[in-house]
Amino acid sequence: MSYDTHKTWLYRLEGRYIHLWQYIQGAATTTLGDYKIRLPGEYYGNQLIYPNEDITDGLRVEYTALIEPFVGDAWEDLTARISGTSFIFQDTSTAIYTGSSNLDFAATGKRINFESGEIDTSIAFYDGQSIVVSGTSSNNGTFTVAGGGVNTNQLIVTETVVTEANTSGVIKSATGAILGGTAGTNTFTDFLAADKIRVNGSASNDGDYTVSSIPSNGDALVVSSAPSAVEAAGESITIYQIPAEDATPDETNHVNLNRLLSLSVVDYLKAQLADMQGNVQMKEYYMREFWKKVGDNESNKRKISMTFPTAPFAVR
Amino acid sequence: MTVQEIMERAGMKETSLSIAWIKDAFHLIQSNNKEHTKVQKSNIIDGIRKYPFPADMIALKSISVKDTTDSKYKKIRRLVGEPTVTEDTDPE
Repeated sequence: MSYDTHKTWLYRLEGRYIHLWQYIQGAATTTLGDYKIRLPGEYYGNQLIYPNEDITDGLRVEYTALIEPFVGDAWEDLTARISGTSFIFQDTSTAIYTGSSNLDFAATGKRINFESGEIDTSIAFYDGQSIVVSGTSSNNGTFTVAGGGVNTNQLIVTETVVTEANTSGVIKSATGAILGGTAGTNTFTDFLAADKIRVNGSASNDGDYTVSSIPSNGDALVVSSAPSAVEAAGESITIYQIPAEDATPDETNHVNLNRLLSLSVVDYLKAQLADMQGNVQMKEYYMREFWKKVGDNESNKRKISMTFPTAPFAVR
Repeated sequence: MTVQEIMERAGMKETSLSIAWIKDAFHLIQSNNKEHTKVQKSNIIDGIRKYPFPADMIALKSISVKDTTDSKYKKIRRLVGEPTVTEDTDPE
């Protein structure tokens, strides 16, 4: 059991490796009966020892890397962002609804009816959702919730339904999705299909996702990789757009930098061109411009205000 | 800013060379600033001292070890001097 690791662990850098050391004050011991005893003649005092325990994911290295240098969107355009406590996460393996002799399917109107008060469909389903029904006698299969199909205790689907009353059945979502919390409310106004998004603040679904599609109502984000767990509303969650990397960049891709750093890259290219032409003076000029812009970008993040007290006998 | 716009501003015509140089510039920026940071976690194993750096690392920001008593990663300090023990053949 590690404790006070900031005081009891140290590292050394050796080429490509991190050498970990534990700092202890002790001596070699052995157990005799139920007593731990210090071995006579052994050194007692401050020691550096190799790690003496297994710690799962115990070593955390934070570093800069060549991360996503080329992306599909300009940095300045990544404005889609939403926060709230009403988001719901749906996976494809957990039942949204499990009926026990209380589900009705009606061929007329292509309806799936739930008993009053059993489920609030306006929270659990959305128009355009692909659902998988199983466990029924005649209606097992995949259905699509029709536009305007989410009503209290009822779903209207686009596919043909066989009339069946008081049946048992399980309904799951065919795709992973993040729901806005209220059917028909355009919650995800600024998001688009193919956007890469990051979820922060959820109980078990923080991570990056790619939006596959957005229903016409804008009340859900259908994501390409299903959330890892079903999650009800309640957590304070922020969802925001992040750059989508393009591993095979071409001229149409954006550089994953803000505008000032992109301008510094222009200077870097000019410097390299000058270098190729043997114009060292010009190269040095553009490299200075490059570092100047990189420095400006850093100083833009560090705003310092200074306050001076007025001297008590100051004459104005 | 698109690659094309950068190329036009710099007077470049070769796309692949431009992309290579843009990556170099990215590398230089990342070497000196923490523009994009990444985290890698690995298991600590009893008796093992050597752990490799992440292969894609440009610049190291911090090294932390998990304090299992309160489930927090705490930054550890760098050992400046070289320990007397160069290798422990019986670390247990």
